[in-house]
Amino acid sequence: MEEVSKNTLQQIKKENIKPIPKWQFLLKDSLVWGLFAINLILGSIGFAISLYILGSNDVLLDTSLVKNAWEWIILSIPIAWILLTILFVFIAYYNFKHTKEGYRFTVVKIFLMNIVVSIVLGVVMNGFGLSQKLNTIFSDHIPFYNHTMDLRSDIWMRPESGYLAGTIVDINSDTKILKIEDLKGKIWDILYQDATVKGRVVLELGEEIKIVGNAVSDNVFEASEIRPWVGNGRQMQENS
Amino acid sequence: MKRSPTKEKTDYEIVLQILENVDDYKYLIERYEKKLFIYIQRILYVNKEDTEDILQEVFIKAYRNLNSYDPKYNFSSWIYRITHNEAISFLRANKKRQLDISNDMENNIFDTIASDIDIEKEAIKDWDSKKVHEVLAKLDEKYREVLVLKYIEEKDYNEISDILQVPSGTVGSLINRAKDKFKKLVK
Repeated sequence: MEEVSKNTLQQIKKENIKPIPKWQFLLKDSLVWGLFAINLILGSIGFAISLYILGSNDVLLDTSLVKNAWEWIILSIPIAWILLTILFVFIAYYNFKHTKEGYRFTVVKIFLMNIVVSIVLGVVMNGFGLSQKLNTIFSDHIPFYNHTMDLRSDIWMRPESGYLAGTIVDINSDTKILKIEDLKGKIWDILYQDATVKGRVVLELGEEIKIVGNAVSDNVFEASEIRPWVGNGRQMQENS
Repeated sequence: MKRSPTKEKTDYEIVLQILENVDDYKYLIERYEKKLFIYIQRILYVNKEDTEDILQEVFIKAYRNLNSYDPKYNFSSWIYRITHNEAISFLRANKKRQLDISNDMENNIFDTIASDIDIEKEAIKDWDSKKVHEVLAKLDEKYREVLVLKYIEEKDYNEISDILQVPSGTVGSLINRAKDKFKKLVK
């Protein structure tokens, strides 16, 4: 048995083995905790944006906007964001499990904790309007975002079917004509004399709106209903 | 003046000394080598030479990672954990090896398992330690290890949890499953 002690010390000296510095362990721990926190926050953002899109989606309650059940599912549920949220929760679980004391918790406990924190933080973020702001930032800066993550533009950029969305860039209350810049940057004249303007909509410059009606020509659209960009059918009924 | 750790010194105090002077490592090795030697043999059923090789690797790894030891926890659990990891690595590298159940370790210690598992009534009270030793050898390594830690090393659930890096609740179910498997093999 003495050999073990002797041989170990000999090997340490011969190979000049040194203890790994403490800062490396601290750095590794901090990285794991940092990644855990980041993924938890990303999961919360994912949940917040899922809530926001779900709450702003007319398709969920207005089935006339879609052709069939499959389209209803695809367009009404923010599937991509929900999947992304689940992915972040999984990565957060993996990170937590690799913290110094992660092994002390069961898989169920860690998942429950991650899910509860993501939901609570997500609800708070959504409550403070952060999800809407982030969604706008992503929509403006991430290519294909509006065709993958937030499909509302796919629903509301169909002027030929009577659906149009954009931001008000000019208002003429005498002639009852609005100018909007649609989600693709095209300018439209909107005739809104006979339109129902839902309660939450304020017709002012910069207001984001959705319009139901029909395209009169290539750049003229006759509105029968103007809805706020944010919000779904139920909210609009309550506010109209 | 030469420093010499006394028996009263805690493991952590010796760890701090080692970080200053590697030669003091021998005091910690002396404190644990016998325990770990027996532990490795009990869970791996390897010969003396393999056991010493594994043990040496354990002490080298422990030395490299000495700064990661957190004095909030038991040093014993920490070094047993490293030993457990080395044992797993050994098993992975030697999947097709034959267990050396002939080796002459302290066989009488295996009596503890039979009595603690409460299977004396089941016609094995007259078994000698060698038979218990043989039954244990037939168990999966994870069940054998948890029985060894609980009944031979006499570790509590928290210590086993720290060594195997599983939640304490899982330790309980592992022990129960291991006991069931042991009983089935006895029958």
